[in-house]
Formats: sequence, structure tokens, C-alpha cells
Amino acid sequence: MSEGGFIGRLRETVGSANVLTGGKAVEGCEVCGVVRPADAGETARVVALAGTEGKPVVARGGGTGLGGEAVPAVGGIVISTERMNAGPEIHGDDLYAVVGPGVISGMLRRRAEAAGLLYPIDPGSEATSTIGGNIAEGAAGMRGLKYGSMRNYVLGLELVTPEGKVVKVGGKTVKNVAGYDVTRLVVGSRGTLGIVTSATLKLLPLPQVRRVLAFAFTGGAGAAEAAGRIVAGGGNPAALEILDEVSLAAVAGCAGDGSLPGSGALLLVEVDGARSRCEAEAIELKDAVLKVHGAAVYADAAYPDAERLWVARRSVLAALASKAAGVRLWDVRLAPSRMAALMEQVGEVSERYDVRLAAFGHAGQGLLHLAAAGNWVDREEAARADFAVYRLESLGAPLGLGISERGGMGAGAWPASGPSLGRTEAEVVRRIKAAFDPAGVMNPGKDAEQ
Amino acid sequence: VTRPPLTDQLNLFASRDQASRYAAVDGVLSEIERCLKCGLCRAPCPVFAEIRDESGSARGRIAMIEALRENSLSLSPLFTDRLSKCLNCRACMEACPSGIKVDEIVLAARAEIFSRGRFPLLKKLIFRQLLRRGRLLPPVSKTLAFIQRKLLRGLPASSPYRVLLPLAGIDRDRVLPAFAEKTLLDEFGEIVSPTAPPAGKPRMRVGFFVGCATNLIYTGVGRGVVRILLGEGIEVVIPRDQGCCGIPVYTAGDRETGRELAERNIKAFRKHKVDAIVAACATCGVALKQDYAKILGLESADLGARVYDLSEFLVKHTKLKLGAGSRRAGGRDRAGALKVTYHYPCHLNRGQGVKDEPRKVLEALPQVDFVELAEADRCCGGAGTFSLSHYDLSKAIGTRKVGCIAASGADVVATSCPSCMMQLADMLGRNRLPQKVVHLAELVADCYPALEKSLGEARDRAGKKRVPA
Repeated sequence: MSEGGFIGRLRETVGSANVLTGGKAVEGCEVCGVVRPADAGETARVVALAGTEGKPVVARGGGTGLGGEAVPAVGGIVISTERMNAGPEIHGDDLYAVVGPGVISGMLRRRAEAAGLLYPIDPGSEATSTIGGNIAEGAAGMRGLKYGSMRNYVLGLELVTPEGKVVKVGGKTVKNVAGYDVTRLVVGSRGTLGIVTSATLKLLPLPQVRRVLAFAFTGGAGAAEAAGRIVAGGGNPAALEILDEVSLAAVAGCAGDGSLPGSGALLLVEVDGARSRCEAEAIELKDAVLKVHGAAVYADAAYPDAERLWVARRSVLAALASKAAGVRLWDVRLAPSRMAALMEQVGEVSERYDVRLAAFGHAGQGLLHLAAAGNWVDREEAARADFAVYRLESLGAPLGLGISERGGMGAGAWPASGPSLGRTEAEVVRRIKAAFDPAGVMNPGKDAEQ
Repeated sequence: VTRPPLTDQLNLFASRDQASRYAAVDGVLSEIERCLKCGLCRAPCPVFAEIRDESGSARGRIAMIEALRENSLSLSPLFTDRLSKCLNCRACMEACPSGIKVDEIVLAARAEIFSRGRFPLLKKLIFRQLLRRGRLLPPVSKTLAFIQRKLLRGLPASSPYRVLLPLAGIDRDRVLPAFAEKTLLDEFGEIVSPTAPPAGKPRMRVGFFVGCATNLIYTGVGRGVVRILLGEGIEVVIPRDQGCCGIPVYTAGDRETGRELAERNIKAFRKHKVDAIVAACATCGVALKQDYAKILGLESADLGARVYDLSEFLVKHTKLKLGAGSRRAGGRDRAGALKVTYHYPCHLNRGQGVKDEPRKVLEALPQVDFVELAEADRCCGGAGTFSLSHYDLSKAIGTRKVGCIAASGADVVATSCPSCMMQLADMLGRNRLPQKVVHLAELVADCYPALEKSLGEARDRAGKKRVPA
């Protein structure tokens, strides 16, 4: 079939208005078009059609991923899930919700809260990212420390396979273990195994109180040390986030209203649950943190006042970006107890290679973001940043540190140096991918084929 | 799969340093480049909420404009249509963590569209002939007023003449505002002085920027402003040479006409020595305060005095003692008070950064009970000519707005922008809701002495206007 004929068939399947072909490229990659199916049936027909034509298929939700997972790597068609926005249908008695993949993440959280329930997955992009995207990415959020990630909340899925079949996996209950756990395998598969067309998600009872404590430190190492103490201390904070000196200076400068300390580092800790439990936990936290040299309580706020602290945390990357031509971003995985050492090394390599690396993120969850603002057209400047990160990686290797750069321009997350999977592990991943998608049509060119 | 070399990945902006065919877009390149494509702008966009299409969000528009510059898109009718579906409400700019000036980017692209003639002839005719040559506007509007009055009798819903409306590009069910028989500029002389009381030398001399809608349609709003200022013992200067603020023109891409209009207004106001300039239209206000310099790039965009929105002026320069019964004056029987809520015009709230003043003014009014409005700062969907060219979209956005107004329990919704008034009145009428729309100036004016006496004298002084019966 000619490309015109293919587009014609797509138009017949989903209606003319839902096949977009105006522009030639989606974020730098040439595609035949963007298709917006209304439901699982239409999605299945579109995927099958693309399969017979040998056209790759890339699912796309809100398009907020910084790793470029929803950006096509080798052309084909993009399937937008945004029209599949049924629900959320909330079942309070049985603690679950049924939602279409196009539902905005934050909307589900708010609807659940209005019904007295908690949906704790709140990625920074929740105002505009979709449930489908959150599932594909295995999203978490600040509260992942206590509440886990998307993986812990997907009970069941309706899925269109790469061969264009609609399958249902999982169920509506927490215990449901017959056979392989295909549901959880799909979570975080970045659209390489199938396209989610409906999801059943677990909900929790809403905690009585949410409270945020902000601690100020003279430097990032102190803040990281305190984070390690909190994790080891056996408390159960919902979130534990760190902002080093560079990050804090950037957001404080952008906020410009004196609502944040202008220098030093910051640790944000959220506790939630019954009022009495939160009281006790706040006291324990203060005891643990104030043992660190130079630590001080900066704020202790309940919701909704505490929201502004989280806004500050969420704005770091953008604040860095607002003053530069570009931002490069790396993810650093490291056990919370080792983060203080990392923080010191970040300072050292920044100085040595003359780059300003900002370290911030999920101290309690063992994931920090490194960001560098600069003019990356300048190869020399870019190379210095590369060297700084390589140096950091080799220094951290004995501590079990792993770093990957977030491409941001369509190539997906990939390790800064060498594959993160061993050869045998990569082979297992490749076989799983082949079992789902023998023709390799679904989001090709991404992690699964490394 | 082989990954492109890291250095190529990083070489994102290499081709961007060269000038493209699109000079206006090149001018905002640094803003375009700062966009991270994070998508946070999508959440508050009223257009995106309705059409759920990437091209209907700021991120999508910026991506399209980038693609235009890189020649992977052209100035097609589709491109033009997508770019026209922006309300310029600036909600995206408030959400943008990088503070990208989306308005400047979108308006630059519209300037490209206009400069290549991809523009409806009728609009061009209106811009270049009617608005630029301000003299023609009053006769045209008077003719329209005559038609409305004599032929269509205000166009009641049942009027058979409504079938004619679509010929002019207007929906036949639309609630239309009536053109005034006499323009505001014709009603008053150029200088209107306060008489007694408070007598004596005027304590201030204030220029009044009228704006087209107030001059031609909502003359009551203009009379209200004059009444308030006179009541405050302020001399009002209404320069006769002033005209359209230019926003409808340059937001559609016609910067050349926009500049001419701006220069005419600047000249008209600089001729008079005034202590301040007051605008009662949020959009005119943002034009005078910022856009002449920011969008039109006029080096001398100074009108000779600071420009205020009416509410801002009232808070700053009057004591807001608007009656014995006001909240500020202490408690009294509030039974029978009018429940009033307030719709924030985008160009007042986000445009001019005027946030609290309208509310302060309303709360100072006697017999007004201020009630909260959900999503008070969300665009009403009017957005000037947007509601004419994209009526269905405009209706969808407006319906959500009047839903909130109905839920507020207010009797009256006040606002500070004639375009919003037009839209709210249409949407309330269309949804058969009982709430009335007023301009803040009309509510405040009731606290001041009626105009007739001082007005008459002003006219006598102007020496050419009859006092109407």
C-alpha cells in the first residue's frame, strides 16, 4: 500500500479529524502522522494496520517525559492516547479506580482526594502528564519513598499488543498472582510491549494530616548526611528531598520573594498519617537532623501552606533552565547512606572541570538528578561537563553509584558510559521484547533492544 | 540501533544561529530556545482544555513556530488557523517555570503571517481603513446603531432579521451589544472640570483613555469613569485625538498599523499635561502600559504620565470611602445587599499584574456583598475578535466561565474589560442565567453625584455640544 493509501485507511479507522499529517516531523523525527484513537478497538485496528505495513508505532500521552521515550526514533506513526480519557471512575468501597490512559494524572489525584482517598503517584509533571504515560514510565513522585511507584498501584490493565490484539491482564484486587505478572512487566516498559487503553489503579485511604519540615544546612553534604540518618532511623516519611547549594540558589533567585533561604542546602521532609503519629514523627526527625553540624529547622508547615515548599522543589530544573541556553540532566542512583560522599565529590568535580553541577532530588529514594546549565553548543563546555560526570562516575563506582544521562531529544535514557545491563541480562530483556513484539514495531530504537 | 554521537545530540542549536526567512520570529529566538517542552503550559490553557490537541497549547505552538523557522512547516492555512486559536490570555506564561514570553512568540508568528498577506481581506480593511483612520469609525458605528435600532429593534431572539447575521460572520443566536447613538468622545468636551462640591481647584488632572468599545458601545462605562473622577474633585482630560489602542490590530499581526495607532495615542496624550492616565479597559491598559514598548518596540512609548487601571487608580489615589455602609466604615444592616462577584480579565490580572485592587474596591462599596468566584482568573473566551472568528471554541470556554458564575450565587458579575462584558453577557444569555454583567466603573459611579450638572457645564465650555433632553 502506498503511504497515501495507508493514511487513508487510518482515516477510515479513526475518522479524518483524528489523523494529523500536517507537519513532517515530531520533535526531529519524520513520521507518517499522528493518530488519535477513541478506544481500545480503534487502537487495536490502527496497530494492526501499521503492523501489516511494517510501520513502527509509538504511543504518546502528555509528552512530558524528559527522556524522549515518546519521541519516535525511526519514523512510523505516533498514537496519541489523549482522547482515551474516560473516567476516573472511583470505587471507594473497594479502593480502586478505573481510568483511561489519557486522563491527566493530577486530575485522578484530586478526584480521589475529593472522595476521601489517596492516589499517591504525583510526578512533577502531574498537571499535564497522563496516566498512560505514568504507567509506561513507571512514574513515582516525591512520595515514592513511602508509597512506592506506579508499579505498586496498577492492579489491572487493558492493553493493545504489538500485533493489534486487545488483552486484559491483572484484575481489581491487590492479591492476584496466577501466572506471570504481566501487568507489572508492562509498567515501566516505555511503550515497547503494548499500548495501555484502560487501567485499574489501587487507591488508599487519605491520611489525616500532611506536614512538611524544611531543614536548612550550610552545604549539600550536611543535608545528605541528615537524609541518610532519617532513612536509617526507621521513621517512615512520605518524602525526603534534597536541594544542594546550586539548586537552592537557582530556585531562590527565581522565586525572588525571600520565601526560601538564599544560600546553603535544603532538605524537605514530609510526614503524613494520623495527627498524633505525625507529631511524634516530627519530633524524632528534628532530633535526628539537628545532630548534623550546622542544621536548623527552616519551616514546619501543614498543607496547604506546605505546598509552596514542594513548588520550590519542583521548579529546580526550570529555574536552572531559565537562565541558560540549555540544560543537561543526569540521573544518579546511589544508596541514601552514601549520598553525603557524593555531594562532596560533586563539589570537587564541579570546581576541577569548571562546570556548575546542581544536585537535587529524591535523597530518600536513592535517586538524585544532576543538572548543568550552560551553552552546550560550545563543544568545549560540553566536553568539560562530560569529563566531570565521568570523573564522578569513576569516583563513585566503588560505592555502587550508577549514572545515566537523560537525552531529552528522542534517544531515551542511556548510560553515560557503557551499558547498565550485563550481556546476559540484556539478552533476557531482548527475549521478553521479542515474545511480545516479534516484528519489533512498538517504539523501536529504545532501551529494550540494547 | 546506533545512537547518534553525543556531540551531535548536543549540537541542538547549531542551525539556529543563522537568520531565517522569518525576521519577526528570529527576533524571539532566544525565548523559543529556552522552552524545555516540559508541557506544564498545557494544564491551564483554556483552548487546550477544549480541543485537547497539542497544537492548541503553548508548547505545541512554540514547536510549530520552531518547525516553521526550520522550514519543516510552512505558513499554510492550517498553520494560520492553529496560531489564531490563542486567546492571548497568558495563563501559560503564569504556569511556565522558565517564564517564557509565549505572547511575544505567538505574536511574532502572527506578524509573519500578516506580512505575507495571508490574512482575510475584510479584517485588513477594518484594520487599515477603519481603525487607523479613526474618523471613519464613529459614522460606521452610528450607522450600525441606526440599523440595530430602526431595522432590527435590538435584534430580539425572535427577530426574523437574525438570518442576516451569519452573512456578517456573526452567529445568529448571539446576544449582541447595542452600538451607542452618540459616542463617548462626542458626549464630552476634551476637558471636563469638577464643579461644586468639592469645589475649588481640581486636586488632580487625569487623562482618560477611552478605547473603542467604551467609545462606541459601552458609553455608560465611560460616563461612569468621568462621574467617579469628577466626584473625586479631579479634572478629566479626554484627548479627542485618541483612538484604538491597537491591540486588535497588532495581536493579529499588523504591527505597522499597530505602531501608527500607538504613536497617535502617545501624541494625543503628550499634548496635555496630566498627572495620571486612567484606562477602564484591561486590554487598552496592557497596551498602553507594556505592549507599545514590548511588542511594538517603540523606543519612546511614554504617554507622559503613569497609566493606571481604574481600580488601581481608585486604590492608590482615592480614599475608597465610598459610602457610610461600606465594610470599611464598619458594620450595618447588610440585608438586601447586592451579591457581586468579579471576573478577572486576563489582561488586567496577568497582563498588568493588577491582582487585589478590583476586589478592594468592590468590598468598599456600600450595599455590595462580595462573593467568591471559582476560577475567577480563567479566560472567559471572549478575547476580542477571537469570539467572532472561533465562536464555537469561544462558547465552550465561556460556558465553563458562566457555570462558575452561576455557582457563585452572585446577582451581578463585575469586570473591567468591555470584551469580557460582551462575552459574559452573551454566554449568560445563551445559558439562560439571570446574572447581570456590569463594569466595575458602573457600580462605583453610583456612589458619586450624578453627572448632569457638571456635564452640562463641560459641554457648554466645549461650546459645541447640545445638552440632550
